[in-house]
This record gives sequence, structure tokens and C-alpha cells, in this order.
Amino acid sequence: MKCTRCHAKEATVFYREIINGKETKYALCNDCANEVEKENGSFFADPLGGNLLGSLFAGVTPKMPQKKAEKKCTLCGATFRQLAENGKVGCPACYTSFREELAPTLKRLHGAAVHRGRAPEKFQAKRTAMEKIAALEGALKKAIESEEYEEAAKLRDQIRDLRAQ
Amino acid sequence: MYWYETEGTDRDVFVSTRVRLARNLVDYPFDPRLDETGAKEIIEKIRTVFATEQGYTFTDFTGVTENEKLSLVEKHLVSPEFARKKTPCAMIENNEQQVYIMVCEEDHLRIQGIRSGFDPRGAMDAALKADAAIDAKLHIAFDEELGYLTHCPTNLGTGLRISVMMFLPALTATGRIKSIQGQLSKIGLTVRGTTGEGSAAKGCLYQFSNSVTQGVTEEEILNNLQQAVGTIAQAERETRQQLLENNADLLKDRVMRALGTMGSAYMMDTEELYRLYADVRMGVAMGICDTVTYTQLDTLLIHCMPATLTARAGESLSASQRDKLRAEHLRTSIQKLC
Repeated sequence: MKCTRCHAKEATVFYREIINGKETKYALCNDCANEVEKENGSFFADPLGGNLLGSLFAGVTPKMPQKKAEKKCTLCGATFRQLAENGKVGCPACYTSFREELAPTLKRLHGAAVHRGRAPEKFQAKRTAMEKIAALEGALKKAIESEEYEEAAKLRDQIRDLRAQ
Repeated sequence: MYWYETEGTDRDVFVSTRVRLARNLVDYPFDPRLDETGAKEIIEKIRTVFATEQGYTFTDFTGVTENEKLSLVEKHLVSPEFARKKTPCAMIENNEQQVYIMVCEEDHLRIQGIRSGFDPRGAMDAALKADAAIDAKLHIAFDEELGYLTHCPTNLGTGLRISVMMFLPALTATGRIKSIQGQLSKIGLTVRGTTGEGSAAKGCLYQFSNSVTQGVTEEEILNNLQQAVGTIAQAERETRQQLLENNADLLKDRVMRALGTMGSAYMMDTEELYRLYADVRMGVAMGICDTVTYTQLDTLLIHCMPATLTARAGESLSASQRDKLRAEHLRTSIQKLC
């Protein structure tokens, strides 16, 4: 079977990925597998393998430059290398401190998913306000298109007030 | 009353439903970076929140004996990891015994709602009520893109795990459970044994739970799980019917022998109890036996677990003493019912 990426060499790495119920199959040659692994981290990590999570932290390999690995979390002082060894973050702030480094791992675990569920009350209020602003902006656009400038001015003021909050 | 002592929906297949929300406080690291002072501060903050909420009881785990902790694990109210903790931790429970909050477990807070039978919505509502009380007074770690921030990245997002304990003797006996297990990952579900991760399915009891926590809403997780376990429940009921049609006499014999052994044995270990429990419970579900109810059977099983049995005895017991006491408890309970 030919590699599904370069369509030239013989495929030697076969990989099946299931994210959010969506199954994707890969058949890659050695060269393509190495390139994809460099981009996304190891193929062979098990997302639900308990203590295997350490191997999930893509980006930390023996080849990783020492300088990058020694960046520390602003709250708990953990390095990304320590996170990778434990398979778990050191504190909630690690997600901000190592946002870039954690991104491949989180992508593999959850897909490119963005949180859509509940939120603490103060975030929920902000989320509701943003949804209102988006709706008002739509109405504003329509009002301008139909040359209802008085209505447009009212909508603009409402948007401004919501943004100020 | 504990969850297992109450009536519930679809008890022929569903034993219990548990909802768990993982939550953390900003400004505090996770175990093992969380020192004793930090853990005590978190515990005090949570204690203060629930001191002003009606109907909750706070328990400092420092004063709880090892056996009492293990008994809580046997009742599926706290995790085995939580019971093993040597650093400061605490538990909050509500008066209805439907909400259990583990403080300083893997996450700072594991808010659990637990109900008898199949009731994910009831369990969720109970957990969310406690969650709202905490959210109103404390600053919970949250990121607009990532959702609730958790110790383990697998729980990110909603931090929600819905676990349904199912009783599947017919699918186990026919081996069909293996093909079901093989298909679960495709629909975002995982299955574990009776007591959680890595444990075996004793008593034909399986825990099904969602594996995806991010990029989906709580409602979507609930609906997906409800649909999946509904299909499994239907397969179990159909298989039971087929077994009954083809092997009625053999099944009746097996069920009544199991009940007879429960009501007359003088020594019994937990392995044998699990086997007998599964046979009798299947007999109740198939209409072969009406001597006991699901509630009575599930209560008996938990009361006969090692730590819970020891707690009832009020003294430490050797394995053979436990086997004797277990048989005695079963004998008197079953004989009362017959």
C-alpha cells in the first residue's frame, strides 16, 4: 500500500485516530511518519492510558532544547519537562504558562475542540453579553443597509454600553 | 438514606448513576506541589462555603479511620485514591446523601451526585447545585477556550464524568459484552470494572462513562451516554429473554440454588457472594424469584463488603471471621425475607 501522504513510497506506519467519535485512518511511509510526528508529537501515545499520560506531552523529547524546557510556570514553578514526566500539570496557571507547549497534547486528546459547556457565573455573564453584542451588530448592519439611521444609532449606543460593561 | 437503599429507575439493568464535576481553585497548585498549608487553606475555604449552605455536613478526613474510609469506597461514595490519601483532605455530603464532595483529591474539588438506578439528570442537578454554591463564593480555575482547568488534561473542559453502573449477566454469559466493549471508543465511552479504573467486573457489574469532556456541552455528554447505555440495556434485556426461552429450567435451578446458598451458608467469601448476587439479581430481573428486591440485594452486597462488614462489627476481624459474619448476616437477612 502506498503512503497516503506522499503517494510515492510504501506505507509502513498504520495509525487509527478517534477524536470525538470521528475516526481517521493513516497509512504513512517512514519519512512522512517522522515528519508528522515532528509536527504533532508521537503517534503511539495512549490518551486514556492512565500513567502513560507522561508520553502524551508532545514536544518534550530528549532532543528538545534544554533552554525551552526550563521555562517555569508563573505560579507553581514547574517546568514543562516536569509536567511531561508526571503526565499532569502542576497548577491551573500551567495551562497559561505552557499554552503553546501543551497545544499539541490537548489537540490529540480533545481534537481542536474549544470549550462549549458551562462556565463560572462571571464568565457566563460575559459570554451572554458577547452573544448579545453579536446579535446587535447583525441588526446594526441591517439597519445601515436599509438606511434606518435613527435605529442604527440606537443599536450603536446599545453595543457601546454593553462593551463598556 | 444511601443511594443503594432507595428505589430507582430501571433497576433491572441499572444499579446506580454518578455524576462527577472536577473543579479547582485558582492560586493553588495541584498535588504533589500542594503543601499541607495550602491543602488546609482549601479545606477551610470549602468548609466556610458550606457552613452557610443548608443541608450539608463537613467531615475532616484526618479523623476518619482507615476502615471507615474503605467502607466509603465500598459504598462508591469516595474514590480508592481519595481513601489512600495521607495528606489533608475532607468530605462534604448533603443530608439527602446524594451529593459527596471530595476536597483535595486529584483535583481540589470532585463534586459528585449519586442516585440509585438510571438518573443522570437527577445526579447532575444535585452536583450542579453544590457547584453553584462554590462558584458564588470562590474563584474557580477556568479558561474561556479550555473550559474548567483540571489536574489531568483528560478532564479539561466540562470536567464532567457521568458513570453508570450496569448489571449485565446475560451479555456476560453469552460473551456479547466483549464486542460491546470493543465498540465503545467509537462513541466516546469507556468501561471499567466494579470499583473503577483497572478493576474486574465482579458480580456482572460494569461502569460505563463518557471519555470526552471538552468541545461538547454537558447536555450533549448526557444525551450521548443516555443513548449508548439505553442500547446496551436493550441488548441485555433481549439476551435475557433468549436465555430464559432456551434454558428456563436450568436458569431457575441456578437462581434458586444461589438464593438457597445465601440463606443457609455458614462461611462465605466476597468472590462467592458476587457470584450468588449476580445469579439471584438475574433471577429477580427475569421474574424467577420475587423473594428479594433489587434494593435489598444491592444493600446486602454493600453491607457484606469487607470494610463495611468490619465497621458493622465494631472491631477488627480476620478474613475467616469476616467470612463467618458475612454468611451469618446473609442467612438472617434472607431467612427474614422468605
